[in-house]
Amino acid sequence: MMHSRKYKNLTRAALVLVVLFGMALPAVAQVEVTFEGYAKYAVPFGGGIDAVGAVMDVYGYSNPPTTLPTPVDMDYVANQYTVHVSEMTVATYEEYNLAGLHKVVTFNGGVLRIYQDAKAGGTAADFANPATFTDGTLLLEGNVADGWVMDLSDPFGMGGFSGAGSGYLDFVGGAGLTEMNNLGGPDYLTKWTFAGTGISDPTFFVSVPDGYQRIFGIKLFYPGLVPTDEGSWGEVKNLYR
Amino acid sequence: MKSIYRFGLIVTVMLAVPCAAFAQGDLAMLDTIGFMFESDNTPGVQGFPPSVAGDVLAGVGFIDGVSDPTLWGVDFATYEYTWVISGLVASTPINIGGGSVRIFYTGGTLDVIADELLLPGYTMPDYGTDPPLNGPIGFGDGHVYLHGVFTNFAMDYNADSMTGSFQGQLQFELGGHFQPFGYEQLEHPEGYTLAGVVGPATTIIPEGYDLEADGHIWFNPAIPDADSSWGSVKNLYR
Repeated sequence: MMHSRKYKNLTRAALVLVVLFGMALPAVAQVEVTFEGYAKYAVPFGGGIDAVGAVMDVYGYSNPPTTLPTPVDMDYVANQYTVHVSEMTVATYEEYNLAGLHKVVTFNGGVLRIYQDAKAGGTAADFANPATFTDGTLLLEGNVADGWVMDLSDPFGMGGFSGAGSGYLDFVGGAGLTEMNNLGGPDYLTKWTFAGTGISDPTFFVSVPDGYQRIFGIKLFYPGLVPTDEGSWGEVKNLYR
Repeated sequence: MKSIYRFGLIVTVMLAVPCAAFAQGDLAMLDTIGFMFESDNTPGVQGFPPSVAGDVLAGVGFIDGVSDPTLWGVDFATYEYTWVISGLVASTPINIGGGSVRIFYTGGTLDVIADELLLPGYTMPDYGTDPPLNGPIGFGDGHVYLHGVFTNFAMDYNADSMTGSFQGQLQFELGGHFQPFGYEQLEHPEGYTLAGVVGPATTIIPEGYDLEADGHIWFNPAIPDADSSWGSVKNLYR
C-alpha cells in the first residue's frame, strides 16, 4: 500500500518539476523495473547447467518500486507483474582460477516478456506452475542481445556459486510499447540494460523451488536519461485531490 | 509445541553437540534494493571504482519484499522497512580473471529497520546526494528489526560491464520489533546477504553514490536449542 503511495509521489514529483520549470518538451528522469525469481535449465546430454548448449528460462515477479519510477505506467495495487525470460542458450563457458574458481558464462538469444495480470480475477504467480507467470496481458517484450554475460564465484566456499549478469535487450512488442515509443521514440526502445542481480546456486541459505536451479533477480533500466510524461498544472493539482 | 522443544533437546543431548545447535527451519528472505557509496566521499570524486585498501563501503535502501510476511511479522501496510550497511573496510582488490576483481572487506554491520508509517515522527527516507554530506536521511529511523555483524564480506566487480555482486555472512541479533510476535528469544540467527550491483556512470545512481544494489537478506530464525544435561531432560517429563 505505502509502496504504491511512494511510487505515486515519485510520479507527482516528476510532474511538479515539469510544471515548475515550464518545460515544453518531455522531461527526463531515471526509470527501472526489477524482478525476483528463479532460473530453470534444460541441459544438454551429459552436461550441466553451465554447459554450452544448456537453455535457461527465468520466471519472476516484480516488487512495487521504492526508488525509481517504472518505464511505463504500472499499477501495482490492481495488478501483479511477472517476467519470463525464455530460451537463453549458453554459448561459451570459461573458468579462471586465480583466487578460487570464477566462472564466466555467455548466452545467446532469449526473449524477455513482462506480463500484467489483474489481482482481482487473475491468477497469482506460483513457481510450482510456471504458466501463472505468463498469463494476463503481455505488457512488454524484448529480444535479449547475444553475448549476455554471467559471472559466478564462491569466495567463501559456501558450496554454491553466486554472482551477477549483464547485457542488453531491445523492446519490440507488448501493450506498453506504444507508450514507450510516444515518450521517447524508437531510440528509447533499444539497448536497455538487462542486469542479473543476486544470482546464486542453492546453498544453506539460498533455497530454490522444485524444478529450479538458481535464484535469479532481474533489473531493467535505460542507460541514459529517459522521457517522462508531461502534465498540466491542473493535472498536477488533481493528483492531490 | 512443548513436545517439539523436548524432542529438540533430546536430539541435542543424544548427539552430544558441544555448543548451541540450531533447529532447521525455513529461512526468511527479504528482498533489498538501494544504493552504496565507498570512500573517497569528497563531492565530485567517484569513490568506487577504484577501490583501494582502507576505503570504507556503506549503503542504504529499502526492503521491498519478503518471502513470508505472515510468518516473520513483516507488515508493509504499517511499517516501512529499510536497511543500512556501514563500516565495511576494503582490502586490496584481487584479479579473479575475466576482467573482474574481488575485494574482501572486514568489519561492518547491517541493520534492518522498521519505521511505523503513521507515527508523527515518521520521515520518508531520502537518499540525498554526496553521502554522507547531504544524506541519506531517514533510513535509520525506527525500530531495529535485525542487527547484524558481518563475519565476512566480498564484492566481485567488472569495470567493463559496470556490474558485479557482493555477498556476506552475518551474525544477527533480533531487535525489539520481534517481541510482539513471540520471537524475543531468537538472539543469534545466522544471516547472509547477496546482491547484484550496477556501477557508476549509469544514470540510475544518485549523485555521490557509486553502486545500486539489488538482492536479498536471508536469516535463519530457527530457535537455538539449549544445551542440556540428561538429568535436565528427564526433569522435563516429571
